[in-house]
Amino acid sequence: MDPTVAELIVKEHKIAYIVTDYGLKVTDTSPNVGLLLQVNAILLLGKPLIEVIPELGGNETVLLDILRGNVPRFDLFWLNRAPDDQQDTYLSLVILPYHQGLERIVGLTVLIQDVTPMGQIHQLLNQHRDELNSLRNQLLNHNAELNRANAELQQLDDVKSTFISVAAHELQTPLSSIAGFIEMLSDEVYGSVNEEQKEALDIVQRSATRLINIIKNLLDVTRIEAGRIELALRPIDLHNLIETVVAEFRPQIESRQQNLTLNFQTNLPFALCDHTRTIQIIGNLLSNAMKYTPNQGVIELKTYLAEQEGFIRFSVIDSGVGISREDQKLLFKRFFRAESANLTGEHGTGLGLYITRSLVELHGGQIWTESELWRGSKFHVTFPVAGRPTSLQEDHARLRKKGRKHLTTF
Amino acid sequence: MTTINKKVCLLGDFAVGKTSLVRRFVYNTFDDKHLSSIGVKVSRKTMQVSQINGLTGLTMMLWDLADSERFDQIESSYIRGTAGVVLVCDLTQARTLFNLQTHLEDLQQTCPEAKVIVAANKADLMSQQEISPADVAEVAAGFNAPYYLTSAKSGHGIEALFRHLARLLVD
Ligand SMILES: Nc1nc2c(ncn2[C@@H]2O[C@H](COP(=O)(O)OP(=O)(O)O)[C@@H](O)[C@H]2O)c(=O)[nH]1
Ligand SMILES: [Mg+2]
Repeated sequence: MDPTVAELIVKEHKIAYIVTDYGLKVTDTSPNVGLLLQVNAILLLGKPLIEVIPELGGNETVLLDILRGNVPRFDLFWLNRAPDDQQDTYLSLVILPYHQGLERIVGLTVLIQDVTPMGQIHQLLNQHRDELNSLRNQLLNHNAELNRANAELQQLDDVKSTFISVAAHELQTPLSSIAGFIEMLSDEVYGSVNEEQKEALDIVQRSATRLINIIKNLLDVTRIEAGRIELALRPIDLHNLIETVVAEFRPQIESRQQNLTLNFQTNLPFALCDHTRTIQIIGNLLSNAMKYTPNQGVIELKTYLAEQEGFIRFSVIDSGVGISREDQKLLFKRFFRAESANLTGEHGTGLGLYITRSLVELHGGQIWTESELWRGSKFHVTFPVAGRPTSLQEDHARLRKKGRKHLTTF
Repeated sequence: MTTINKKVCLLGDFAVGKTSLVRRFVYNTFDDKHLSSIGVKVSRKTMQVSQINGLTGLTMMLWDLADSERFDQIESSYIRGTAGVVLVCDLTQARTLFNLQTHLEDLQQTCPEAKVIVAANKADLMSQQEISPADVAEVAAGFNAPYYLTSAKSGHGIEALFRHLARLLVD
């Protein structure tokens, strides 16, 4: 090698060397060794290696192994030599046998390189990585805590659902028999009743019916939340169904002198829905319209093909109390009652629209509202159009799947 | 009086207090900040150990190894020639106690003869302890090693730990 270049390499890369004899005493050094080791280089000759590089103390066995040819080398990377509380300085040491001729080992060669700049970068990287790691561990711990809390809440929620479901079931039977006997009493099966008694019985009967409806709703909510609602989907003539529901409500609508119009699109295709549950959807919406529209108000039921292909839209439009913008956002949530609905003095549990939305979504449809406070409301629902008979099965499967997906997001 | 050099390594998980133990023992200082280390820093501490035939001077070369890397070729080269090892765990983190087994196995591959002692550190953090002295005793007994509850912060147990190790190294 060109000696000038060799000298340059040694200088620029801050490389120094020490050679020792077989007794580990220094016999030769490069001139820059004093600078790298922070010692006086002139005084090194003849000194024990371990005095020159104290870090090698305790490593005598390794050094002897190298002298004897048992170990080829000893590496010490990133030897941090900074005194305590001072900026790190790093040396890299390689200890090799010093050969005379080809075979004979007569001492050690110690190659020393100052690697401080690289070491400091390496240290910084480690510092950042360790800090990130400890942040990550903190996050993991937080996450685990959140998961635990979540599981506890879920368990409480399950307990609550089970309680509601059991309580509602237990209430249902005695209530049905109460309602049955009241009906027989008013029908004078057990003898005649006077006008005053009849009025009292009517009130009891209405209350019993309301209780039964509340219980039905509670049971529906627990079924919805447990994903236990099964739909029997088949092609259905919606107009027919709407008329059935309207007939049921007719007496109450008339007693309120409300003006009900049906606005049906001709040649509307059949919808793919569950008969009982669709009656429930239409019934809930019509009952709300009736309850929250003043006497002599206007209610319109409308059907048409929806903008979205493959769907039929059914709308209930009323001239009732309306719903404020804030309340609209919460309208389809469990137990929510709009402020304006409360003001009417009508009873309600805040479950009807939640159940309605769940049922509509189980069918694969959507429900939404347009309203302004004191300016009436429009409720829109979409039902899927029944496909050709052959694809009915697939539709069914697809819708069931879709319904499930919605269920999980409640 | 004769003086002998012995190489002592501190092994243990990240942030258990290896660097802090050395600093407390050698310089009698403590820092709340955790500084990641790379490679190795060697500190020296000389003590006198009394024996039947008089006092022996012992210089412990304390090797504080970087904690982040897993044991590999490089670390095995650092460990070569180790006469004694302090296995350090953190009383506030249970897993650091269970990981001592791995650190010991790593060491014994290279230095099966090394004397072993266990330091269960951060004893001052009373309210955060995840492991009891009994747990430490059990693990240490499994290694056939003595153990000390230490605090680099207060200095508790550190002198006793290294004195005990010194006797093991001189005998
Ligand atoms: N309270 C307390 N903190 C400690 C103790 N020993 C170390 N620490 C802290 O624990 C962190 C890690 O210590 P360090 O010695 O750098 O750990 P190493 O990675 O094992 O070298 C630092 O923030 C120290 O201040 C101790 O005995 N008590
Ligand atoms: Mg450290």
